[in-house]
Amino acid sequence: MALNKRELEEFYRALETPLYNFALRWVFHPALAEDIVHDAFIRIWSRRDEVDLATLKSLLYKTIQNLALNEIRNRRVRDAVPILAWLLPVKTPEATLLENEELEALRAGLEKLPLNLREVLLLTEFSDMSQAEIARTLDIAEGTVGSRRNRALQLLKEGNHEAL
Amino acid sequence: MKLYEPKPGGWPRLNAKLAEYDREQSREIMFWRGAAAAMIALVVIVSTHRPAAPTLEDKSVNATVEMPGTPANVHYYWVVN
Repeated sequence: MALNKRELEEFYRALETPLYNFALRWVFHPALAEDIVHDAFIRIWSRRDEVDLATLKSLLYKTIQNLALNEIRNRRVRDAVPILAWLLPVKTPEATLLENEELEALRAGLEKLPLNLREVLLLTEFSDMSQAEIARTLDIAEGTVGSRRNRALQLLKEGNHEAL
Repeated sequence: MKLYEPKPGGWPRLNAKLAEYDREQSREIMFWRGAAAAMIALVVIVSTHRPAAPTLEDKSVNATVEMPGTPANVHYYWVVN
């Protein structure tokens, strides 16, 4: 059965804060994080006939992660090609980042984590999905979720990523 | 990790974006329907059109004329339109 607007609104209202925080820890830009969450919902809406409500939450997190990674890649390209930054001016994260040292420190740590550890850590922190659901979302073994999370936390606490 | 609150009014903003998305989709569907109708009309017109049979007034005929001063076995051909 196709997803209707009321169901989508219920999902949005229930998941807005965790999804926003999940996106924020990828892009570290409040307005961009909101845009990414909205874009994910628009994508879901565009495929509302095929969406399965049982897996919608998992699909939302995965879509947000993919959109955030696209944004990060685009940002790298813009940074690497100065003319693009001039032609396509964007708010840099530095310009509008929350004035919060804690978040800045976390950003430095998270950006040094390998992608596979970062995605597991953020999903376990912000989605209230079970370990099994996260494993299905990322297509990895359930035990790997726990081990990657522990490894990510350990590296963050150490604050020493030279070994990576 | 700490939870930050998103900017208030997230749903109304998203709802407006969804409405805009739906409008764009409708416009796109209308455009493609119009294009398909135009193509079908064109195909019907082309397939039902029959060129008129040649008549005596048709000037597209080959003419052979003798040019003075040329050997008898050389002829010039041209099409008179």
